[in-house]
This record gives sequence, structure tokens and C-alpha cells, in this order.
Amino acid sequence: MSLPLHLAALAAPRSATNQINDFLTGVKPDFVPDWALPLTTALISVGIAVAIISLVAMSGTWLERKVSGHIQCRYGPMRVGWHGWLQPIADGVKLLLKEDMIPLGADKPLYLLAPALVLASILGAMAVFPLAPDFYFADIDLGIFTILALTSTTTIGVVMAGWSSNSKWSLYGAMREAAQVVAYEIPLGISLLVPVMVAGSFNLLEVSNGQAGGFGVLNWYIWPWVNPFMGPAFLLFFIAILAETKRAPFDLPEAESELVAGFMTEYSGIRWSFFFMEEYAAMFLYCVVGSFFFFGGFESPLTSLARATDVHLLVQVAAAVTIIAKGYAGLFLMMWLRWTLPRVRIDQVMTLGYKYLTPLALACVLGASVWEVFLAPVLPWR
Amino acid sequence: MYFDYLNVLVFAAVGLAFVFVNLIIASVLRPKRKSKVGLETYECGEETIGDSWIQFDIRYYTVALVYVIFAVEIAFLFPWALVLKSAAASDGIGVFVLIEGVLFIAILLLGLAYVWCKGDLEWVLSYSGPEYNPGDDRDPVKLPNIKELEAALEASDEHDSEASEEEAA
Repeated sequence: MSLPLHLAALAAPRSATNQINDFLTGVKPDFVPDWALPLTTALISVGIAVAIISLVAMSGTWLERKVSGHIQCRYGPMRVGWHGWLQPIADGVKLLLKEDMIPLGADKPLYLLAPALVLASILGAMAVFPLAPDFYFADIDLGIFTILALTSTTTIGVVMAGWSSNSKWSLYGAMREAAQVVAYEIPLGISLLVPVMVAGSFNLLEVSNGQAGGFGVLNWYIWPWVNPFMGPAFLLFFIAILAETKRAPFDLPEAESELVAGFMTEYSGIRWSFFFMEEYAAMFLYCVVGSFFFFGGFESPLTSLARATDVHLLVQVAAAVTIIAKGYAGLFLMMWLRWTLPRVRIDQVMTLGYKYLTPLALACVLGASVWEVFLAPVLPWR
Repeated sequence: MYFDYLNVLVFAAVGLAFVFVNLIIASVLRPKRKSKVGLETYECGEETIGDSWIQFDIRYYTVALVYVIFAVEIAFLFPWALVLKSAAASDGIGVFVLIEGVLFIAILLLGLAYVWCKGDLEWVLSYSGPEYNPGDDRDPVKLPNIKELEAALEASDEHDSEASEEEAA
């Protein structure tokens, strides 16, 4: 049995939901009732959704500590499992067992809602991220728009957390977050206009397809022969995502050494861990967006090789490996920067955002648009 | 298409559910020995004085306003960027579309320049307001603005360095 008729009419034929359903239909023994199929499909889809965010957060925290450790000439976690790879699970158990603290002075409904809102919006944005060319949950034509909209919603959750905690640290953290994220949303959006202009699409899958060919490398949008303004646009994009995800050198909303933990001061235990999950998921998601719009998305020599064999499954796996590897490469770069650059002051953050990044991003867009209209049509390789 | 948007909603709902399921699991496992001291606002061991729900600096209002303007402009620029390539491919209208976009960005930059000149992008505000005039029987107070303060600071730095050079000599 396929999906119920009204759902089948709506579902895209290649969507992950339909594929899971088809697979289950194929392997279903006779004694299982028909109505169990859509239910199992839904459960598996939900399982994948939760698995994505948990795995990214867990591997992110482990990687963060290992990278920090090795950069500072120490090992990082070593005890739990090989090179401490089980450490995130040990941490999860510890956090589950922690007492649940809700400060007496807090605005309780907002305090309870804040982590849920933060996690819900980042997971909604994660749905737009296609795991492989033929395995995705949401093939949305407004893909990058949806991601930008949902990831900025997390700011509301952060401000909510800071305000409802009724602590001075949290208030400062939340206000810094509001000012900073709001300032860097502008260069982030404008710098993404450049690849959108070249790709002519908001859809992540289509953007990736647009970079196919050239041994999986030569057609990436980042190269100057595609558009020379792409490199500067990527630099602006990367600085903006550092600020958007509250990473050093822009980690002012948390600022352990001055604001204790900023907006998270009053959060503890499992409730606190949701903010961390959001942070790592957002970092990963922005890195993935960066690789889709600048670094070829699914395209790599590996994917080209797999495509030459003409085995469908192999292509999907190679593409998934490519995009996840690119995402983690971005994560590593962000962690590396954390131990390279000192934290900047809030006035420097605002100055950089409004007085440097915004005009530069607009200049990039102007230059790129002139290139696209006058030069791109006559270039032999475009 | 609608199914895809539905999936985004479903994922968001899963996120909400994930939070509450985890909290329910934790509520079974975790200890419950709440003390009043433990639940007080954390301020590094000091007793909390007053509420934190205060009115915050008005600059946030300006920042938010500037952001709203720019965000709306970006939302308008995205569709323009989307069609630019196809417009350039078809004859004639490519340049027209480009000029429209350039005009739009020029107006945007003009707005940025206005906000910049007006000083709304300065995070450290200069307190160069009108002179404070308390009344006839007292002298008016001129508050130094940030430039004057910086100039004074530089002058004193130079003085210090000169003094140290003299000492060295």
C-alpha cells in the first residue's frame, strides 16, 4: 500500500518520505496490517529528524573539545571510549540526571518555552537540508529563504530566554544577541544574493545541480572564473555566519569570562543542553548552506566518479558523504577560528557589521550583477 | 510542494516534542530537592539587588529600525537576483533589469549613508547634546563630546610619551 491518496498526491515522488514508504511496502510481511505502514513511515521520518540534530550536536561537542584540546597542546576527552568518542553520551546522561532549576524570579512560561522555540525553529530549518540528491524531506523552491527565516527565529528564543531569566547576566547576553544577530543578518542575506544571482534559484538541489561538471570541482561558484565577486561574498558570508551562530570571535552573547554564560546563565541540566544542540545544529546548517551556494554542494570528484559508475545508490551515498564532509570541514574551520582570534567588543561588532560588511556586501552584489549581465553571457566557459 | 512545507512544520513540531519528551524523561530520573537558596538568581554569589526587567537603552530601538529597513530591502532584492540571469539571457531587458537593481541598491546605500552621518551607527554615543542650562544663577555646563575626549586623551598620551623620552634622555 502506498501513502493514503490525498497524501500521495501532495508528496513529491522522490521525497524521502515516499521512498521510505516504498521500501517498507517492498519488505512488509503479510501478517502486518496495512495501516501500520504510514505509521511506520512517519515514525522513521521523525527518527531521522531527531537523529540528524542529535548526531550533529553530539559529534559537534566532541569535535569542539578535541579540536580545542589539540590546538592547546592537550588531548581533550580521552577516558570514555576510544579518544573519548562516547563522551557526548556520558554528558547526555549526566545532564538528564541534573536537578531542574527554574529561578524563583523567572517568568516561568517564557522560560519554559524558550529552549523549545529555539530547537523547533532550527529543526524546521534542518528539514530543508537535502541529505542526498534523491533523499530529502522538503524540496522547497524558496529553500534558502525558508532557512534564513527559520534560523533567525531562534534569535527570538534566545532573547526570550535572556529576558525571562530575570538575571542581569542573561539580560545583557540577550540584548547583545539581539543587536548582533540583527546587524549580521543584513550582510548574510546580501552576500547570499551573489550565488543566487549566478544560480538563478533559491532551491538547494537546483543550486547544487548548477555546479555539476568540470570533474566535480571546476564549476563550483567560489572560483573567480565563474564570478570574481564570489570569493569576497563568501568571506562576508562566513564572517556573518560566525556572528549569527554566536561563535568566537563574536561570542558576546555567551561570553563566559564576562557574562558567565550570557543568556544561558539561569539554564541548567537538560534544558540548557537544548541551546547547545541549537548552536551546533545552526553551525552545521550554515556551513552546509555555504557549501551548497559556494562550494559545489553535492558536487565533488567523488560524486563524479560515482556518477560514472551509473549506480543510483552509489551516487546518492557519494553525494551525502560529500555534503556532510563539507559541512564538517566548515565546522572545523569555525572551531579553529575560536582558538585563533580573541573576542571583540560589542561596539567593534556593530561597527564591523554596519560600517564594513554591509557596504562591502552591497558593493559585491553590484559588481556581481554587472558581471552577470555583461560578461557572463559572452564567456566561453559559462 | 505543499507536502514539503508540511514537512518543515512536522520537523519543527518534532523539535518541540523532542524538548518536552526529554524533559519528561528527565523528570523521572532526576533528583528533586529544591531549596530556596538554590533557586535564587545567580549573580556570582552576591545577593540579587532589584529586578532585571528594566528599560533598556534607546539605541536598540534605532538598531532595530535600521534592521527592519534593510531586511525588507533584502527581501525585495532576492527576487531581483533570482531573475537577473534569465533576464540577461533574453535580449534587451538585461541592462534594464540591471539599472533597476543598481538604482535600488543606490537608494539603499543612500539610506545607509544617512544613518551613518546622523551617527546612529555609533555604538559608543557621543554625549554632544545641547548645552545643559540649569538656570540663570548658575553657569551653563558644556559636556565634552567623544571627539573632544579622544583628542584630550591623545594629547595626554603624547605628553606622557614626551615626558618618558625626556626621562630616558
